[in-house]
Amino acid sequence: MTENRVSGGVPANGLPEGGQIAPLTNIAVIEQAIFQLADRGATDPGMMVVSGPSGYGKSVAAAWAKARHRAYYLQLDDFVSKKSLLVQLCQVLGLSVDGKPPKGTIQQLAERVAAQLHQSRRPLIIDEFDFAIDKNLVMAVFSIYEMSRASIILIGEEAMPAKLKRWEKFDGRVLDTLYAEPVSLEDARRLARAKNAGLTLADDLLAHLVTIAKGSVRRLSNNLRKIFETGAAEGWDHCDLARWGDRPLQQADVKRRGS
Amino acid sequence: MSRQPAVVALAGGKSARQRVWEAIRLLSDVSDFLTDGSFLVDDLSRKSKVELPIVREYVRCLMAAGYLQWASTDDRGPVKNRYVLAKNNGVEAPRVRRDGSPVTQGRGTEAMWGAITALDTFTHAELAQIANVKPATAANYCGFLGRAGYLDLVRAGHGTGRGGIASVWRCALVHKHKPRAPMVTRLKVVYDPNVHAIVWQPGAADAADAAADQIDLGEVVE
Repeated sequence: MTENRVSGGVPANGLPEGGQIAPLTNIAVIEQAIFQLADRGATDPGMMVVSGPSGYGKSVAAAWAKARHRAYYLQLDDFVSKKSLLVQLCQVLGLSVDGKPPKGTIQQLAERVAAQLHQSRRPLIIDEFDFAIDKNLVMAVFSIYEMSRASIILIGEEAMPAKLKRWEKFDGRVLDTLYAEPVSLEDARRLARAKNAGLTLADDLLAHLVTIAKGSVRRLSNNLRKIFETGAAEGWDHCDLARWGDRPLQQADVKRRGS
Repeated sequence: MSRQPAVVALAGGKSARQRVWEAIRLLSDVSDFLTDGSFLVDDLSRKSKVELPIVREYVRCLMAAGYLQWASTDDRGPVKNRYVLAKNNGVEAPRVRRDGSPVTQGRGTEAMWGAITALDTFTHAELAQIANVKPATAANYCGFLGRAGYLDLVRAGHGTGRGGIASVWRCALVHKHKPRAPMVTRLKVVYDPNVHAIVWQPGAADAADAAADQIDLGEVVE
């Protein structure tokens, strides 16, 4: 297995045309995952791992892939079991039998899920895959892959690729591991431009925001929103670090609730 | 044990074409060795309870797109009225035109719903960017879904254009796992294909309020 990094700000090849703005760095990462899977040979493995710390914009990137590539998307949580995983997959794939959600043994459910994944040829994205590792469901996903040979993208925290090495069989089906990138100054410029609220931000302020965000695109957008709101209230058309002064901003080291 | 239905279908409300597609999948299922998997247009019509002209039209579209083929028999050569499934696309009926090209109408809505159910909070501008639709389209969709109770308003916006603050939305939890996109129809009502029902229409809330008032006033509601 090879490990790849997408260089910051450079979109992966084959991006869908017609987007109003160039995607963020981590959208380029998931685009690369989708296209690597679509391009794989008949004998190549079909699972991709995308990992990165919380707040790096992995889930927004997943939403992008879901919207633009008709990917099936499932977000796992701590309550997941083998049965609930399959029931939720049936729901995500929109399956029914006689107008009711499919019932049956987990084997029957798995066969139905795998058949639909195989036939529709749509990629499946499983977000927060760390829960599957904690709940010992890695081999369940492995089996669904083996039955369907579908393109599957697994998204999780930064320690996930190392944890997955424990399952040698599983590891052999992973085409590539991609790492989400920390938020860059270029990302900050794009986000500020996208808000387009008649307020231009100086590079020194954006650079400061990138530094205090410590890689988290979530933190950066929260701070951008705060600045734009203040700007709208004060009637600014330009803001730099000096003008912002020591007004509060969300810092990486401050413990926040509900993030 | 009773026999499990062999063919899995799409959950929720079904169009005529969807029912025909499900009939095709059902009649192509050869796992019980009772059929050879070929079928007539009449078989499809009978099985799906869809009228013949609609079935014929859809079969023509599917043939053009390569989902169906003529059934061939060894001794008599190709038979021009029997069909077999050539490309099984899963539970969703392929949306194709008469010339076999894919139908693009509705893709924007599907993309928006896909993004809505995966995102945490969002504004219409962010949604437009992710789903690749016009900001006005996204704003309109969010507005209708908000009125139908499908989106929670996290923070109300105010003003428009530069200096205006956009509303922040979040998908209501009970609707977050619905795979198919609710749509705003031409009559400006919100239809949810997952439950096959009109879930919002203009004036319905006012009428309900008026009825509630009547009960309070002791008037008879018939």
